Amino acid sequence: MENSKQELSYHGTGQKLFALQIVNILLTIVTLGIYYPWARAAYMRFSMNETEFAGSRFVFHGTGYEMFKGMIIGLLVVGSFYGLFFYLAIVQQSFVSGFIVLAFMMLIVPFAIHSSMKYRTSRTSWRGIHFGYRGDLKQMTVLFLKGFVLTILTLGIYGAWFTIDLRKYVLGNVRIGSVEMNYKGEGGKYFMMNLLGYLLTIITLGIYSFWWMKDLFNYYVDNLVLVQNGREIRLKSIATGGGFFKLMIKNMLLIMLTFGFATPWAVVNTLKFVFSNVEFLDELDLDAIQQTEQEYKNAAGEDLSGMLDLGIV
Amino acid sequence: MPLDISVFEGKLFDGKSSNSKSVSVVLYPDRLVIQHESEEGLKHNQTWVINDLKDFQRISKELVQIRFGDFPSQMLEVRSLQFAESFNPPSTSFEKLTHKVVHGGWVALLSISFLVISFLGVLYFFILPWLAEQSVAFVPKEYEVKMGEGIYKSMVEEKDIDISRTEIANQFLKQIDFETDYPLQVTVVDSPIKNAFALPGGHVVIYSKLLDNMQSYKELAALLGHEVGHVKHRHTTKHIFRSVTGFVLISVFLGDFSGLSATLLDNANQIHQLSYSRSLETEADLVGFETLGHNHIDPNGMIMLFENLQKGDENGSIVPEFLSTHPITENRMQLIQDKIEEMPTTHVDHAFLEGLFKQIQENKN
Repeated sequence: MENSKQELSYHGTGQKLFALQIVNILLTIVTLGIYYPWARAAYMRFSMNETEFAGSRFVFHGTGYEMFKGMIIGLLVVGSFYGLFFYLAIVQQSFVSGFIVLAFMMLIVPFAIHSSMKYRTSRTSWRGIHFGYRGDLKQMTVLFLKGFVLTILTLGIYGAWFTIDLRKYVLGNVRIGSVEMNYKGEGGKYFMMNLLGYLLTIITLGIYSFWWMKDLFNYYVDNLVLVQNGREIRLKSIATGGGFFKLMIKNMLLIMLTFGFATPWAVVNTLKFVFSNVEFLDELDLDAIQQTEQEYKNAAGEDLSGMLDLGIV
Repeated sequence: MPLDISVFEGKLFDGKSSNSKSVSVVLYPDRLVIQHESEEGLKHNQTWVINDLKDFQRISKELVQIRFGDFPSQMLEVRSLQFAESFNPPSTSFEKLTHKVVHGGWVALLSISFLVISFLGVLYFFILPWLAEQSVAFVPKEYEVKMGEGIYKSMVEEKDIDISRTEIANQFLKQIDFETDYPLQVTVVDSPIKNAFALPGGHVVIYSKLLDNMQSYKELAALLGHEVGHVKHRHTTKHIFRSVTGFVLISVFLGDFSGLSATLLDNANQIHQLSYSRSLETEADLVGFETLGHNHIDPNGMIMLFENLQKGDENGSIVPEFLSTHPITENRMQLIQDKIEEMPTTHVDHAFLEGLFKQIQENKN
């Protein structure tokens, strides 16, 4: 098979994305919300299908029916939580209810990350090779609880280390068949970058924020490596602060001048920008990726994370 | 091989590795026949029955991906517009609709957008308000009274109650028939602001500054009539229902949008809710007018009240009409003026109310 150029690209258009969302909204309303998981599946299919690596598109295999079952479970979990919360609020146990909210958040978030990663990766493929997530729920919960508590105790400072630890764990457990992923970021560097970005943004009255964005994006991409048969394939971002500046101004104008209707075009601009700015420094052997992952059947976490609106990874 | 059947080029992935073989594909109505030549020149044939396919996706206009067999499935990729058009396995009507709109032209897109936007408009401007209005009837009065009591307690804690004026004002209240079985109760609060409001379930709170500026018992009766109008017609409860349903619709809609557009929509919603609260004010004015008529009190009390409010606070700023909740006294005054001319009422002087009103005025702190 031809070894096409190893680059990522996004082929979606604002018009197609707008069309998809408008149909999704229509069907979701007409079915009183039941269509929601199918809408989500259609959206994820679209997002994957429009993304290409080395001449082949990514494919999402998840179905609305799978996610519908997940949604029911998610609704039950979240519903009973709210039920308990309101019951406690009515009998005026605000201390107990506060504690329960905290405990719930601390346990549900790692669960949602874990199961959503497992589901999403298992339903994504490239050239017939399925992605996979090999993280362990118990380890994730411990990691999350530790980070959460330390972040509170250090008044947010540990947040930088927490973010990097989560990224390392989550990305480090992602596989594309026999290709493994690794993240090499460090909490200390990430913290300094944010501190500097924050201060410079204030000093320059916000102008530096675009360069801060660039730094964060580059730190994400540049520290990502793929590992094939023990050989590292490094990624590199070529995004610039000026590029982010242009993108953000363009998107802001688009959205404001159209009262939000052009949001899909703005989303497409962003995705095109992201994918066109990632380069591969080393060659992957594209024909030698082996299928390694097992079949996975569980969609509960997908909708939980959708409901909690988690934007992880 | 039948002559009218076309042969397509494709790539077959065996599901074990990312490597692929070039194959030729023959498409029959019910099955696909996939043929490839091995290195030794031997021909291999596979048949995939269309009804047994695991999954197929039309990735772009001309690119189709088909999966067959148990996990890890074999995958066939064909890049040909003709194949994509003629390969037409059963799919749901939702899928067909989505495909049509996404891959269709501007006409399909514009017509469906128009449909959705008008539907959302009808939902937001007519159906949801109607539903909210209907569901208020299911909230028991006792619940409103309880809720009002709760709000009252937490609110009054921070304020200075004028006990003696409150007592007289309640005597005043009892003299008037408001035609309601809500447990009505007035509270006079010391404040340099000209204001008054009603809580669900029957509490009416009047700020001393407003009382101080009143000329006649008719004005106080008009104010009470207006505020009790809010209570009788359950305006707070209606307002809560309206805000919640509007908010829910917008959050559902926003599931697919975010950031800037969310803020825009949210603000539009709030402005719309304000116009609703203005319509409630007008309704309360009309109830106040009716209460005065029913009790044979001079309805000009309403006009006097408006004039009093119009003078505003000394430091009152001018809020644009469409952003204000208690605005347009001009319009409201005109409406009541017209009513007075339309149906003149018989009214008498109420010496007892007059006496109570004087007591209230004299009891200034």
